[in-house]
Amino acid sequence: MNVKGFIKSLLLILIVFSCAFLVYKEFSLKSESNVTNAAETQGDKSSVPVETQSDKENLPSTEVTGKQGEVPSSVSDKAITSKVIAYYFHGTVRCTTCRTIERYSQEAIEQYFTNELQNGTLEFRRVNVEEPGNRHFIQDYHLFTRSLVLSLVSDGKEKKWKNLPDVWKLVRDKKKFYQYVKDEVEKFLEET
Amino acid sequence: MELFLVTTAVWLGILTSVSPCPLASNIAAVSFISRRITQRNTVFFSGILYTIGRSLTYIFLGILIVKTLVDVPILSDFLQRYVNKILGIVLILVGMVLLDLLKIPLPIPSVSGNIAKKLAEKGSFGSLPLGILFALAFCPVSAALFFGGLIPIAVKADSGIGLPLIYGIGTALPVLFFAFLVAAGTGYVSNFYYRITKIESYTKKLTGIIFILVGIYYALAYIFEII
Repeated sequence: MNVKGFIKSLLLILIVFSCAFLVYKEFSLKSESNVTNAAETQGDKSSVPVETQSDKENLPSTEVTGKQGEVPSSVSDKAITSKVIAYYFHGTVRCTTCRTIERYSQEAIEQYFTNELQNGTLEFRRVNVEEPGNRHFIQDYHLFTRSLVLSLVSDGKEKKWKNLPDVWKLVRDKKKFYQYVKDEVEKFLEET
Repeated sequence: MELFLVTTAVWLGILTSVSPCPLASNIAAVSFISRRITQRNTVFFSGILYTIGRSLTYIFLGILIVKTLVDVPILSDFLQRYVNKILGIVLILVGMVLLDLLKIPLPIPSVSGNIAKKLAEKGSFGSLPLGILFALAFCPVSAALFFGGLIPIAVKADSGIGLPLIYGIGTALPVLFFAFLVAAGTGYVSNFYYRITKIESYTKKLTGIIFILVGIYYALAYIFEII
């Protein structure tokens, strides 16, 4: 009987704690997003700072993140007016299939577009849409799940974008997935 | 063409159900449905109600999207963000009720139809809200399959009810299969026991424990975000 009571109170404490944590997080998120929204109205969405992507990625992304710091300078040096950004949008909770999609996307891009990544005409960005400052992406690109989106930016303005929905269909076929990403990115790069 | 749409809807449903992310809630559903292990009729009814519950959710969302053109990204984001969080707390509470750790004075419906009463007595009524709730708990894979796979077809066919209904049945099929398997399998074993009721008190406890564990998993993953 005593054990029962102990378990009962333990679980109730957990429930109360969970509720309190939820409420606290909701409120802190809201106040945070108010601040970022105010800051963001000054710039368009294509000029979202690179820092917005989460740094707590657990995938080996050194190459890409390492490069990203240099991209802005190389862009201005060579005066590249248009570039393609490949966004991978994820949430805070990462599922197995989503991780595979993310890894394949990055690998395909790194494998086929080394030059473009280096000269700054192509960039791979990972964005957590659940972070307050990134929530506008959900509306911007009509996101309803983890997605790979290509965006063509010219003179600081977004010319066009495309969501690649077939990543979900092809995730079980690595070859086709790579080919799909390659073809789509190539189409976008042609227009830069 | 019709047949093709129906097959696609069922297949998308099955894919949703066998993907790894709703695994935890599926385990809870199987244990809940097959809880009255010795009464196959109850298991059967429970399974049907669970399926209806799931389909109701998808029909509701289907009508909302097909007929009113509600903003899909906002809806999907809302469901993925909040339902999974609430699910953990609800599962722990239900588990506690199943383990008799909590007593909730259930409001007895005044309508009390004969069938409804019978079902309530046998404890399979809970499967309906369970189905509704589990279907609402979208994860990335199910959101991709439902909002990205089924909804475009349903919008094209202008089918806010039919296709979501069939999809709902598809999402329940694997769970039903395992629930019936458990019930059929233990049916043989239970012949050896003369005190059937004893087994049921164990299966009820086991269901309660599974609910609490799954609930804790959901709380850790979606509320505290540590797994």
